[in-house]
Amino acid sequence: MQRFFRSSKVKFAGLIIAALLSGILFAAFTNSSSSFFTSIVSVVFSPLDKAAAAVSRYADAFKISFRSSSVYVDKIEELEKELNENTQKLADYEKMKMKIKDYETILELKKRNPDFELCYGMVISRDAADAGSSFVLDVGSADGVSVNDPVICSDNVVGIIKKVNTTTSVALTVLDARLNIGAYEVRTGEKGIASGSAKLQKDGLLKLSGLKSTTAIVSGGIVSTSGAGGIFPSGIIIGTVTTVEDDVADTSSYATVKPACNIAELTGVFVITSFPGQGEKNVSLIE
Amino acid sequence: MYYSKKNILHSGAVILIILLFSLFQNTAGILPAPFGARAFLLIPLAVYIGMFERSVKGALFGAFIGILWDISSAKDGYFALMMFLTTFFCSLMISYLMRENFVTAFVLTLFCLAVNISIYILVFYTFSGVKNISPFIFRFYIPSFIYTLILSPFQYYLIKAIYKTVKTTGEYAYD
Repeated sequence: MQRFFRSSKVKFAGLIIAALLSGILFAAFTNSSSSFFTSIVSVVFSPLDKAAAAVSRYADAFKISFRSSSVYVDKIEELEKELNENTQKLADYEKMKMKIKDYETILELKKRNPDFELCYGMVISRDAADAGSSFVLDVGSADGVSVNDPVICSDNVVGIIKKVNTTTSVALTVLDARLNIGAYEVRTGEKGIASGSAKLQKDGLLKLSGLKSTTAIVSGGIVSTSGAGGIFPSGIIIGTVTTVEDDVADTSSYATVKPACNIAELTGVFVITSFPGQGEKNVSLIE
Repeated sequence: MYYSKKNILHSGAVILIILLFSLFQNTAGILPAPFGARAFLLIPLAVYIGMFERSVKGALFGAFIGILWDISSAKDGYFALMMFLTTFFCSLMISYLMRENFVTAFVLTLFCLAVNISIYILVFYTFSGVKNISPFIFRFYIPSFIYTLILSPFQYYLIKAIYKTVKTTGEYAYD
């Protein structure tokens, strides 16, 4: 047993563990939350993630029909080739259409908030082990993205950047129970905290908690960010109220909220890399 | 010289397998997700590489698996350490305590999956202050555990076939 622990294998393994732990500590104490090993590997291998995501999206859009005839074999092959090319063009067209639609809605946001700096990112992969539907974007510190930058889609809240590598970043979604957003209901002005919930996540809903027991919020109400905490700018829509219920833990109530964006089918999002009041904890709330 | 070329080919093949399974696991839409469950393909892969490599080199492959997984994870370094330890543990088990066969592969996969998922839930949910995590466990992690276990025998025979094809000399399972 002693000889085993003195062997060069164990000493080498100990060196590797020390290197990995130092990477973890480096990630914990730097602003990017990313270790040097991961940053280096992500620069090299993130293009593969992008390619795999593109293949997956192409496979979904790909449709092919076969005709069989022993007489017109050449004609059939020619038509199949033309069909494949047109299908590829159609898939590219649909992608561009989606991107233009995203840019059009963001244009309205930008007109209302000219001080916002935005960065467009495509969803390329996700952490399979995370039940909170976090995802990876193809933009990172090289594009000006930082930890805690808000992520939006079509003028609606999607989540927040949690980790930044050089060319990629990881975002937590609003459905994640670890993310809390200062929010208010637009009609009544009542404030609360929007956060994910293990019980509601499967149904694609989040919870607006901290409401009064005599709340006037009803189904159909619009929930928006309040700007409290300086993480999210105020006035960005989170979702719509579906139900209002009493909290079993205390005398308050909570509302279940359906996010305005379809989190499961996101392909492209915008990261707000800079906005007035970002990082200021005592930002004035609802306007 | 011949030995080095074989070694390089072997290492290249292992790295390619790791990349492929990383893409299969982390890209949405490639693998089906029955009832919302996901297959954690990289954990059985780390187990089988640890079993077939049986050396510190295998553990380094395990660290590489973890670093690739960390790219899409919100907390850095966790999977690098866990996959390294998983591969190292499995290589030690096969070297000193067990024989390499389908039964030991399944037992090690089951054990390593359970331990990895449990520690993940503890670190990322319980210690992060998330309350009432039982829906996550019963609606996501247990179905994903079962789904991964169901796929693991196919993964085992595939990896075994690849190792037999691209074998090399040295302290490996197939000399």
